[in-house]
Amino acid sequence: MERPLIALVCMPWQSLDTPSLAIGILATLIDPRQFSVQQWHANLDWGAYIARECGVAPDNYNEVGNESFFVGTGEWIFTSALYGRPWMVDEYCAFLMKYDRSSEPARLLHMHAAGWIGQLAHNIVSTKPSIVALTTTFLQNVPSLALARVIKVQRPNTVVVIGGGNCEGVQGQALHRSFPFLDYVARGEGEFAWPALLEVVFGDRDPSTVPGLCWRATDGSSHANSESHHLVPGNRIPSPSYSVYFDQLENSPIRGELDPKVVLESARGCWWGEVQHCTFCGLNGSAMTFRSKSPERFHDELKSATESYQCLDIMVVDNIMDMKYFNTLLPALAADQCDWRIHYEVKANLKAQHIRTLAAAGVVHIQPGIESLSTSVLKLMRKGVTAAQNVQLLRQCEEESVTVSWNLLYGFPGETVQDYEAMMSQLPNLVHLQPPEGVARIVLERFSPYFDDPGLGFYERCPAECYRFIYDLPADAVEDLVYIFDCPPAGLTEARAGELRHGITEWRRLYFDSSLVARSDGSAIVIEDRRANREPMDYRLADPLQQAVVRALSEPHSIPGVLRRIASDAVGDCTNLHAAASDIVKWLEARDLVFRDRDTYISLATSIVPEKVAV
Amino acid sequence: MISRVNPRVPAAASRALDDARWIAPNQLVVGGPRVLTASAPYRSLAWLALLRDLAGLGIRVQWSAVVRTDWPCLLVMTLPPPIRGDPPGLIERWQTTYEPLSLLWRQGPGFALIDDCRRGKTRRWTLTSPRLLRAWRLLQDPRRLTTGLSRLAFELLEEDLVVAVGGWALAAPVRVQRWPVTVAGTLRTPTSAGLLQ
Repeated sequence: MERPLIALVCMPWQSLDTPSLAIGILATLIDPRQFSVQQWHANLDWGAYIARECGVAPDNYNEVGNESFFVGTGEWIFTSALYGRPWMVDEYCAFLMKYDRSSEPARLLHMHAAGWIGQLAHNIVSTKPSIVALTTTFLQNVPSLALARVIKVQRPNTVVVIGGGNCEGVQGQALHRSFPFLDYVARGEGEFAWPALLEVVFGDRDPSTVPGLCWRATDGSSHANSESHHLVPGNRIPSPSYSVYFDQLENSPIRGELDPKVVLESARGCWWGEVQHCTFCGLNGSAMTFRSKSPERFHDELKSATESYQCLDIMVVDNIMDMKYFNTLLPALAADQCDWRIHYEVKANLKAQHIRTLAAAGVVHIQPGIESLSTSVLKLMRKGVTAAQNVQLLRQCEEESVTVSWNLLYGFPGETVQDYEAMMSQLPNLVHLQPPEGVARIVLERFSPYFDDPGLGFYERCPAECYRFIYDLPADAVEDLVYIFDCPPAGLTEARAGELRHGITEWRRLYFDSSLVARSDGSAIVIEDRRANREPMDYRLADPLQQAVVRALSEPHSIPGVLRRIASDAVGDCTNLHAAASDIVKWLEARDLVFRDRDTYISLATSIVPEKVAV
Repeated sequence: MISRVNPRVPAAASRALDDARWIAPNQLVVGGPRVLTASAPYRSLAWLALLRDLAGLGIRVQWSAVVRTDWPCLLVMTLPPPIRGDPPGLIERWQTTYEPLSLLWRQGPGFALIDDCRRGKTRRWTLTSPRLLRAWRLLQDPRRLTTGLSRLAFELLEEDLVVAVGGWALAAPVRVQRWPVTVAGTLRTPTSAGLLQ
């Protein structure tokens, strides 16, 4: 007997450079003795199609995917395919102009989307799949819905299922209620939801018994089962399989323009979020509980994936690195002597030894969630880190040549101009350290504490304006469906934020030509100040007490902290150590050689200047 | 000892750097000029091997060169250029055309990747065959280019991945063990929280 065919589909705007983790995992959960599986990495097809038909390069595709989430461009482009006609073109382009964004190539792609979806649907249904399963996160909703609609038109008996991050909680219910061509919406972790769904479709399992599943009664009415809080333990999280993606990539006409990376996960959830949920973060939904793979298991997985796909660039999608990996996984990776380039998200309060360990293991790119250089604002965020620790991280990463991706966020309820004054006055002193990629007002995200508890400061909210041009649905449906919300601005005014933005623009401009290096010449510490916004200066610190203070300030310390730190160092006779050390710190501060975070100081000079590349 | 100043520099390399001094943990100033000539192929290639490996470790070397006319210069212009030397025109061309990491390789488990961005186009080779991997390992140091090695490394020589001079040969690509800081982030995730672009 012929095995039923399951089509797993990944739509735009999944990055072209990376396989879909969801598809990679779902494929491994299907028993090949029972089912045939066909994977459709339709994002690659769309990337090749728009390059050929519209002259839109893969870099521009990735720009839409990576940078348009908060204005919804990737979603709007596919509304023409969802609604079967051009959709609010002038209105959306005018909306983009408000944000100084070009409406090209969005307008062009909008005109091509319906034709491409029609062809893709035709290609899929011609294989006669029993199920078409779509995965949706971030900007994949409308592309997936558009495909689902056309598949149902072309072959109505195909079972259409959608799942993924965009289906979590009420969002999944709203999708199912609003789009009748969706037979099922799978909610919760796929390792549980997916096999159960196959039992419903191909077995005799009653859909009402599957936790989280949205399903239809015979009259077409939508039902949503309550969600399970059952989570997959770390070591039971499957290893994804990406052979199909890499085969498709090899044969893609845009292969030469892509820089593929293997996507892996070593953990789910957030251990910091379990302690204190950052007030603005909505990333973990209902699955905050931190679960990591054992270091041995993940080490094997990473090596095996590298070997299978002959790809040394690894993107680990964890929200936060398991701290036990610093003594286990990372030394094991370093011992392998392979030249990986690994990306990880980490907590920002890492020390010098942590950064050295990351670099030695090939973790050359981190996203530490720095978010601010004001401790008061970081407290409002509940980040569990201070501004001085953030500066320490930036300094250490400079020394170990580890790239840091970060953004400077503002607009937190309760923040004041005073919170920013110290930061803004010190930005010119930091130009030799890696600058933020941008400055942005925070956005209210579903599942964040700010969303769940309006009492934290965002009392009023409505779905973000971009959704007006995307969903043709009643207001309450949109309210349930979407992830980001508009609300009256809190905290810093835009006029003040403009000053902040200017400071960051200057930082980005000056970074490449700036350095501030401290070196020892045997008898003294010499600080060579070559920051591009001041006259070059060399400072020679020959006094042992000066040197002890500078060494102590390699970590954040108050003046009493410095005294405690140097008490163990033999720094010679000093009858009034406190006054002397205090004078030295003031001398360093007057020369912008330290960052001051209230009564805490941290040295700004690095031991080396890394090679720097702009991309 | 050089290796004490920067622990990543192999001790053996320090002998070739007897006249060098560190001005920072990742900056080295070399004393006298290095002569690149086909009449002393081993010594010339040994210097280039060291220069190549230091570049891979992210160590900047200030050095001077005397390049004889018998030297096949184009093949080494992917390595850090001298800050001065003879002939000045050639040195200047080396300095202006040099692009860091335009020819690099990376070790993977059971394979090696070579990325070649010379001449304005990107090419990639993945070495998986035991024969080529053996040749690649051997050519990390200057080797006499015997008939056996030529056969072993035929494709590598064909693709100009190996500097061959005076009957000796050396793999040209830099093995990158310390990547530059990239400012916009080449491995960005689309999941950064709370950002209004």
